[in-house]
Amino acid sequence: MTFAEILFLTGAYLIQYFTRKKMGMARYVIYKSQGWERTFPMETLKYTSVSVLTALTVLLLAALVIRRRQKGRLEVAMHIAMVILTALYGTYTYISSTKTMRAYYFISLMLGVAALLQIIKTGAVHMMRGKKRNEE
Amino acid sequence: MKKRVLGALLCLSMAVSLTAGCAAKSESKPADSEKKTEKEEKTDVKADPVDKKKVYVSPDWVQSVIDGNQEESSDYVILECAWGEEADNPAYTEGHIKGSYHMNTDYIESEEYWNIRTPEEIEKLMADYGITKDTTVICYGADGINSADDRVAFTLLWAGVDNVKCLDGGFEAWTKAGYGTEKGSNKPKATDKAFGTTVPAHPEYIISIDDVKEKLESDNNFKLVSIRSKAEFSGETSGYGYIDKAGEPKGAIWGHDTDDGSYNKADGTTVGIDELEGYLKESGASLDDELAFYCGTGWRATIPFLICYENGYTNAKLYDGGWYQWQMDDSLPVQVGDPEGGKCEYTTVGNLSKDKAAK
Repeated sequence: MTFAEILFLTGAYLIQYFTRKKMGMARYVIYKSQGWERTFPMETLKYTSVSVLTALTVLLLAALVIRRRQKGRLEVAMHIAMVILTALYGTYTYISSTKTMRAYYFISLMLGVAALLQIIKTGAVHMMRGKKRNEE
Repeated sequence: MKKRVLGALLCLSMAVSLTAGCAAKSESKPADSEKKTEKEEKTDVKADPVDKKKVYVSPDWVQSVIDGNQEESSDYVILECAWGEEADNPAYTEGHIKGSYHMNTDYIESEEYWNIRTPEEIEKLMADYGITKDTTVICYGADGINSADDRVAFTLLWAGVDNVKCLDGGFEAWTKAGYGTEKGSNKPKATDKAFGTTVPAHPEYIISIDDVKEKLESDNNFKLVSIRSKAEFSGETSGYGYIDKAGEPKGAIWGHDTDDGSYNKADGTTVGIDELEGYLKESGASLDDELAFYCGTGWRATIPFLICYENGYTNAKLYDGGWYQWQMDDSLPVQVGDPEGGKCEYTTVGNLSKDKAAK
């Protein structure tokens, strides 16, 4: 994982922490969440984003399995991190809600961004490997 | 030789004087500790009884209730009122009045507009805390300016509790008075007794946003009194990090803020009805008008309401929704500026800029 993903994961933790500790933060989070619910189809966005990230993760895993002879340790580690982050995002987004966690949308978004970053990096590695193989 | 002897004598005299001084100090110490012990052991405090309608009470009165010396308050509950769960609240965990329970203000307010919850929810909450209409409930906050206890006290009065008090000056006044505190957690003992009256017993204490709208347009005797800072009243800031727009409902008058100490005396206790009357007079209103106090989300505004209540005024209400609910409706009329000062713009919520959240 890179600094950016760690930053987003830390951000998710901090938002939840301060939502519990500070009334102003809690009310800000609730106000924003209510605004997003009025403006956007949050349920649809939730299912769509989880489905897309899961599909991308599965595709990249499939690609890894297909090219298993060309994989290195780093590549495997990146895929493991990708699976963990996607699973974390998907599980949290499905089982939690604004009723159980006030900062739900914020945390879900941050976990989703962290998972997406890892997917992009892992995908980039695949493309680079593919390019290298073509050159050979 | 002489110098050495003189030097030794000087040292000896300094040592003797230091020892004597220390002895003197240690002789005075027992008196200080006795005083401290005496305060800590003050457990039979008698205070004059107060009227049921009296809200703001002294630490002496509260201690006298704990000591069983206020007959009409033998069934009592003390609530330490603040936002947040008990475990996250140093105001409770670091020391609270003996026997008190923590009351999270989220328990009395719903997230939609931060208005008081439904009568059913409040009735259940009171039962969970062992409160019936005949229970004396004593609320306290961190200090006299903090309005969490006032908010809870108002809610209980609205619901129908007959005898509700606020510790005047808050926990700060309690510790200054030298009364005991404890750590640890007290869990409320629920009651299965019926509350004793329909909740809310006093729906007339709250005025809805629709009624405020109507009365502002048609009733000259109605005064919507803003209990907010001058900067909030004049539209410079919303006063809240989560409210983007600033202004006031059109027709509102200014009744001073509570957070800046305008409603507290020098000792931190709450001002009397005379001060409130003076603030109303500044804005061309009086205690004879139909008054509806409001603020951002209904905390600060409960203080002038309670002052009116304990002084027998029945023409005061709380506009619970406050600026928060008002600014959610783009069609509602607003004023930005000071109507008394001459420079004031009248528009609607939808035309307000969205960059006035407090930083």
